[in-house]
Amino acid sequence: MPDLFVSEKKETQKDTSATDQKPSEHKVLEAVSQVLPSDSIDRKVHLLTSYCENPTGLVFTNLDDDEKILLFLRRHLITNSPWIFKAILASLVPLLFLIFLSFFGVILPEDYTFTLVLFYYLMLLGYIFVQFISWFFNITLVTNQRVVDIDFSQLVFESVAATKLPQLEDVSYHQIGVLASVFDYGDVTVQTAGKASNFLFAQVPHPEKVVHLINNLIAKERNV
Amino acid sequence: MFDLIDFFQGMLNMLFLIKVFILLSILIYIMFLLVVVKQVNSMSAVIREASVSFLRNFAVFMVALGVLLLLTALVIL
Repeated sequence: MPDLFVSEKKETQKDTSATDQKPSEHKVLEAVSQVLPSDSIDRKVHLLTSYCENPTGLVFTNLDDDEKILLFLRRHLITNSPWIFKAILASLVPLLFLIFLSFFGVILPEDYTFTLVLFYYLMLLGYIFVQFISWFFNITLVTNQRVVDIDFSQLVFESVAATKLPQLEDVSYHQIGVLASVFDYGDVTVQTAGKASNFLFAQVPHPEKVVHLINNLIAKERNV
Repeated sequence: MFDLIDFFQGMLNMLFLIKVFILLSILIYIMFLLVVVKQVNSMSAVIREASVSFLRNFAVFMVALGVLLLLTALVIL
């Protein structure tokens, strides 16, 4: 009997330790789920994001208090391939140039060659960076109140255009080319009423989805 | 003999011209990079997201590289 008593005591100790752990684990899971909602990873806008519905971690400065970003768009990532290809080719130029010079017996002093090659690669890095930021800052936002088109091109052109949803008349898209079909990107045209200029979202991913979403918003706006 | 001296003087003058050309080019390039930094800052004021700060830092890093290259060129050329 005393043995049974002892064993019962042990069991109760184990039970209590188990019940102590469960709430703490539960609390941790709860805390994690609060910090990271299940679909937050998909909605977070990253350095290379080109399509994101209901994005998080993004602030547009001219946004109204009751305005919410529903869609974030950039040109499809694959549209950067021409300048990436050019940059790769350009990275081989110094090597070819030095071979070319040595072929004709022209040899520059080492310090000059070193400086020139470094300068060339720094310029190439500058070219890559400018091309990248031209892509990065070309953004289209669709909010629950308006469509915003931010254009930034080659450091010299910068414009932010916006049109309220009731002014939108028609939305259409077209996909031209093999790459556009394979990677599912295309141009979305948004026609606006009156004197407001039309919008062209060039080479955006999933154009069909974009058109569908904007059409739904227009329909909702008209029903209200 | 004089021809040889003239040849070396000509070479030195040419190298001096190349040096001036390289230094001026790097200076112009640094100015271009400063414009890039300004543009990135102005665009990051419009759109704010986590990766914008990385781009701003990278633009500044490129200016630093440019200045470093200018100093290197001044010393070794």
